[in-house]
Amino acid sequence: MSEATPAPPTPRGRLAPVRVRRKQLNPLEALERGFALFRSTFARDAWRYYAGAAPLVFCFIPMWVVNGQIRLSDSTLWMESALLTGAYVLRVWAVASYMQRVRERAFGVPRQRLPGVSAQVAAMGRLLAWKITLSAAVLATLATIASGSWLYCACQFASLEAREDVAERHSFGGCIAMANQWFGGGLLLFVMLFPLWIAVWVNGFSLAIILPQLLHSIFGVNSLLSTRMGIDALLEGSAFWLSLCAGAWLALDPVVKCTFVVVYQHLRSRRDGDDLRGLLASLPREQQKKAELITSTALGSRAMAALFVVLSTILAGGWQIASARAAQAPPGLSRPEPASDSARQARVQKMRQALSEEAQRAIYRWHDAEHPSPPTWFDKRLSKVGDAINRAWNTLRRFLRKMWPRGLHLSPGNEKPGNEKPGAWQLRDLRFWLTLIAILTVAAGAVLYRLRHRRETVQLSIPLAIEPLPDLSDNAVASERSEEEWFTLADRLQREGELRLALRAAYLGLLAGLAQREWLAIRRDRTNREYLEEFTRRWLRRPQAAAEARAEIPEKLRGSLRQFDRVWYGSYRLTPEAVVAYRQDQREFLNHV
Amino acid sequence: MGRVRQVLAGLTALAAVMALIFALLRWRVNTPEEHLNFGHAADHQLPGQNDE
Repeated sequence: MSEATPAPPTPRGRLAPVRVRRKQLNPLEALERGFALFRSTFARDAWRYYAGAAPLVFCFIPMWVVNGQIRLSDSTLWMESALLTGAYVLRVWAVASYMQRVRERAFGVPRQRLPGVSAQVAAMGRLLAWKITLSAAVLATLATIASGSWLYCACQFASLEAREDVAERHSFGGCIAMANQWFGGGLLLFVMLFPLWIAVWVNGFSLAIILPQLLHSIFGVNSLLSTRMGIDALLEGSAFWLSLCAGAWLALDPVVKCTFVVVYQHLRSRRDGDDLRGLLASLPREQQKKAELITSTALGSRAMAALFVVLSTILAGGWQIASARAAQAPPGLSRPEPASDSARQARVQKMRQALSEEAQRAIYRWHDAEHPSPPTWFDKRLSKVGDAINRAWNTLRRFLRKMWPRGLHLSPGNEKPGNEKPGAWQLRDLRFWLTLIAILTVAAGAVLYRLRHRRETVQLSIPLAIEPLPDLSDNAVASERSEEEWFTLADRLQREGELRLALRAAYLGLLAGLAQREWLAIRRDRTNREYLEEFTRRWLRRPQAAAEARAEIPEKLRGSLRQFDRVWYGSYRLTPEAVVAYRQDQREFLNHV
Repeated sequence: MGRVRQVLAGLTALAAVMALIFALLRWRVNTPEEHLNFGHAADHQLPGQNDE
């Protein structure tokens, strides 16, 4: 008789896709629900988050600025550290309270009030130890993304679990295990959060740069930031970047917390088996929707049938009426139902009513979609990617578990009875580990060899980058190096035996020094005579020239240039001593001008 | 006993955070030249331009 029941097949047929869709909470859906939860709880609970997070930010940034300007003693630094640590404790406590309040308001899970001061202090110690350890682990593994997101999820769950002291004892490992259940979703959510953080960051950056300019151009407000130098100083200050990152973090973090409240409720629900009950409880609603759909369809078809009957009546007359009565007779014969069927229907109705009431409980609220629209292609794609990541993660875990030598089991009682002795090494384990160690050794050796080879290449490339000489035949290159660089080059060339080039470098150093002092301007088309004329003209125009009347300086320059011309363009032979003397003469000359 | 251990764990973690913050602040104090380098900003001044 139960096989002939019409109701169960329909929901059973719909159960499979529903279960597949709700097997894991979609990260996009979680984020959407997190936004909705943040919005709905903002007025009452958001102040807890900001009151907890703001002191840390508003203490840290001024300290950062002041410490960069003033040299402080160690005792002052310790006091600052204590203040910031206190602000951190306040933040951890306030954020955990915020998450618990939001959970209570959204899902009706009452907060646990810990009896006694010792229980509260222990809960606080637990919270701090878990949060700090997990935060450090997140920072240490952030570069790997996957491990970072996993530990980040665990860190968020720790805010909810560490302060509870219930019969079901929460643990540090429990938070990690719970994050493990949502590994794929957590990773996708972590990756999805980056564009959001970047968007808020870029908005803040644009505002900081554009707003002073707008105030200056519209209202004529002059500030340091409306000048080019002010903007440059702002961009070079680390406090600006720090404030920008802190602002972006503060803007989005409460939403992230609300998202993790939803995820935590989802995972707890799955862990407690409520997920299955939630699915079961959703069946009456699905059935009700289907019944409404069938009713509306049946009403439409009945209206069409009635219209057809009226038309037939008009056309065919009384004979059709008789045949219609005859046709209505058989259903009338089957109307009486057995008593057992009516009892069964009553039981089914009663069960549906009970399930419907059960589904109204607050714990199932995350099941009830506030946005009942069907999943989009993006949702489906995300679900697929999340499932794939979960499968890969589980495969990796199984692989690592297989790799773990049985002799190193922490709980040897888990071994299969009769197969192997617990705590005993096996030869295949030993072979496997030896192979693994050999592979890792070879890989490490290859990496080290590559690094060493690269370092040698770099070391070789540095001198090659310095060695090439400039084109000394062109006077204009004098402006490409400083006076000191030219004289250093002259010294090097003289030691290498390139005496003519050394003299040329010293001459270019003289020109560069005079150009740096603005006694002449170096140009490719000028001769030494023109340089001398320009120098003499400027030298005689200086204010103290009339009183001093020192004409020996231009004469000295004339002698230097002539000496160079004789060597470079003539056939005078040079000695190292002559080059050293020429170089020193030019340096002394530059010291007098 | 368990509660004492939890409190000690919390205090240890907190001490580690405090030491980390101290190290960060001390690094900041001891390396002012990295944060007070306005040379680049001054380079944008035209020759002869003076803000005073």
